[in-house]
Amino acid sequence: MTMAAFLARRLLGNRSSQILGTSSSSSDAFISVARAFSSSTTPIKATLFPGDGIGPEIAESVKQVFTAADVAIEWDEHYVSTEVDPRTNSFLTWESLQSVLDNKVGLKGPMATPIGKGHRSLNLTLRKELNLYANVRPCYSLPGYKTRYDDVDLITIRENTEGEYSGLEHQVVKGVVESIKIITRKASMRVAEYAFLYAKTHGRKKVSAIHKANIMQKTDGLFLQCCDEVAKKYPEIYYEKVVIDNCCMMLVKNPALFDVLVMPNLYGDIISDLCAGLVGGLGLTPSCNIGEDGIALAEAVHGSAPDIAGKNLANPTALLLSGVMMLRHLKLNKQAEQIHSAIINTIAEGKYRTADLGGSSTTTDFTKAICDHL
Amino acid sequence: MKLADGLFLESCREVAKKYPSITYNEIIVDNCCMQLVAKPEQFDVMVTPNLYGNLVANTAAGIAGGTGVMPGGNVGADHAVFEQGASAGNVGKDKIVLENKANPVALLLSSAMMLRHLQFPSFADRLETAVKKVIAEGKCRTKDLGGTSTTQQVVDAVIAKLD
Repeated sequence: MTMAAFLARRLLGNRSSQILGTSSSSSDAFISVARAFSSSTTPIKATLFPGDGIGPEIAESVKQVFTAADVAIEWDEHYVSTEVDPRTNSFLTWESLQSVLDNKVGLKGPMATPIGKGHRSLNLTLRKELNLYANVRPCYSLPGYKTRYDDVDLITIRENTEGEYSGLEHQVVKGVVESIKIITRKASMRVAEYAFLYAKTHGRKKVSAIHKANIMQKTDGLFLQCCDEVAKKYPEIYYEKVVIDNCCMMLVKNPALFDVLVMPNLYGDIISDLCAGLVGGLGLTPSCNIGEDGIALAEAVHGSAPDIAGKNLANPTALLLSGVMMLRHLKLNKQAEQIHSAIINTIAEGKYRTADLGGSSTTTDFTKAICDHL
Repeated sequence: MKLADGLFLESCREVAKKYPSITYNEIIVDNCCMQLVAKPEQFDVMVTPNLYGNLVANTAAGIAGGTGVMPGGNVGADHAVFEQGASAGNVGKDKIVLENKANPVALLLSSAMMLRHLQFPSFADRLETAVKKVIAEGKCRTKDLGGTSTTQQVVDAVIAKLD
């Protein structure tokens, strides 16, 4: 997008697409982000779920770094309550969910679903109520943190609403169970559109659709058909289809072969975790969930680590990088890049590293080092 | 998938009880793939349902060197068929046959598995040892292992190493 169009969009708000005559309906995800009246001084409201365990500490890191980088974001904090809210049938209150729906953007720390029956899991609640249909995880090798793989730079985009996780299982007779996999054109088109749009707006060259359509001809076949259709609209992006078992093999042999991967739910679950393993695990992996109407909920996918909670030992990298993803979604690219470089440089330098990266710094020291690197 | 994979796990647990000297644990497949790429040495024998097995086998194959070296077998109540352990993306491509660069190691090791199944352990050992020596030496390797030898050259080398 040109600079003029970008500024016009920021000033004109949602009507800019009609005025400028730009973009297709699929970029509604980004259009609604152009805050109607946001100038560079009015802060953008974003919901923050610090979460449990180490959540509040790492959320504090994020707030500090964002303030140091002059990011114009006003945090609307919400916590998981201790009672089930009957309106949502979960520990997340109606107000919390409404906040994300209103602000359209949020950042979530790790939440431990309380054990018990009769309420929905927190992640399921968020996913269903906010209609989060795509889970986006960038995986890239962090310079300074050595794993067996140095040249990983890929993004996994996982369909998050259907597929094998539709929750439809039943016992036929004792000892025989059926599980139903649902693939719909609507959900597949939606995630394929997002994948290609993401590739285009982030300057990626290739989109690979991962499937097992040779065996699951109708379900994965439909998914592929939808990807084929969307691919035609983006002739400048190289599109390929890779069978999931080959994909696994290629990923562990030569992850540089991949750029953007788009997949149905189950494969996405497995592949995105596999890729996280390639670069150092869930403690360093950012992710962002995309919902209808341009909602984006970035989240750290690691656990709440109750054993180190409150001890100033937690690694805030995953939540910080997720925050960067959130900024990029809001098109605050300059500050996103600043913060991102600061994080990368701090880790690469090696002087300040938290325990999980093999160092001995505290959370606050690490955070301060990042702020200094800005 | 609580019911489907739940039933699978229940069955595994029942059998595990009969082998108390063997350590048994369970791992969710996405965590498993992550662990495999980070620390594969923590795994020994892995039993999985169909789809996950396909993925895990290919992931493990990739870590161990690729489709060219992984042996495998299919076992049933009455019969057994041995073949390469991981899917070869190049199935059906005649052009590659002409190039004579296919790696015979996977199938050779699979046939060693077959010999073991037929209860000829000494033959199986001899074949496996010869193959491993050829690979370890590094002089005779096909393209997928970073060398320039042809299929026939590797086979000849294995035969030469048989004792």
